[in-house]
Amino acid sequence: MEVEKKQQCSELLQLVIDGQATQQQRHELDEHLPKCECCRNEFELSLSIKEGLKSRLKKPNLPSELATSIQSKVLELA
Amino acid sequence: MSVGESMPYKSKDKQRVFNKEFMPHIDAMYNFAYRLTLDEDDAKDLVQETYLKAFRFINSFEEGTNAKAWLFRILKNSFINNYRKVSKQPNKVDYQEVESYYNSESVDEKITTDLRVETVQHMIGDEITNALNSLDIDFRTVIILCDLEGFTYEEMAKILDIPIGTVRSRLHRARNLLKEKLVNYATSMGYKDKRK
Ligand SMILES: [Zn+2]
Repeated sequence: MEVEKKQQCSELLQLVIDGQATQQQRHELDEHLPKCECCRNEFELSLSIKEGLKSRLKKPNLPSELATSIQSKVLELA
Repeated sequence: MSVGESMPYKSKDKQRVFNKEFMPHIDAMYNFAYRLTLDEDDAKDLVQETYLKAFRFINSFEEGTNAKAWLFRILKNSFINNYRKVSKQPNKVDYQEVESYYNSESVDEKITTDLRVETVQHMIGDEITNALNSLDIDFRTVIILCDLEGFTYEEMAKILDIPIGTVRSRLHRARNLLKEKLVNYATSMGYKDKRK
């Protein structure tokens, strides 16, 4: 695939993955993916990374006293 | 995110708006602060400072608009002011090199063929966390905002004070860098590529 076309594909993939593509752009990608293994791989890989970030990243625990500490400081300011 | 358009709040409304619009985001705020500072105490201080600023400048917040994005923007600016100065930052040349390098087709393709979906799916949280944390702060930030917090490009542009086009290209570069880190992790952890 030539460079320019590849870059357009990458941009399209990103829009779709991030849920910010128009209906026409989604359609365009749906048409393209079955015909292009390279984009299909990139699409699936990017989706799996996004999914991994969302579901498997370690979450810090919110310190229990933080909210009350903020609210009491705000009361002093008010 | 408009400034100075609305009428000032009455004193009792300030409390109400603060509790109703700002406090529900404290979890997301702490997560964001922690992923920027990578330190629990620094994250706590940063969140507290952000909330106090938000209260002080509450008149520039219009009730019913996107409070989360408004708060994230304050937090990001506080972080830059407090913490960024002390850390070593890449200069402009570094950025340009990264940009031209990661925009090339061959790199995209190489990463994609070197990293398998199954490999990513088998990675545990620690590996993904380390890969994300090892990214330069600007790249880490766009991934956090987009993939973890689900902000739109437009919201990200406002939070970061950069054009939407820059959001999109930075996100693309950030993801390529992340993929490269994941490839390195996969290799060092000895993940097997089933095709070989
Ligand atoms: Zn393609």
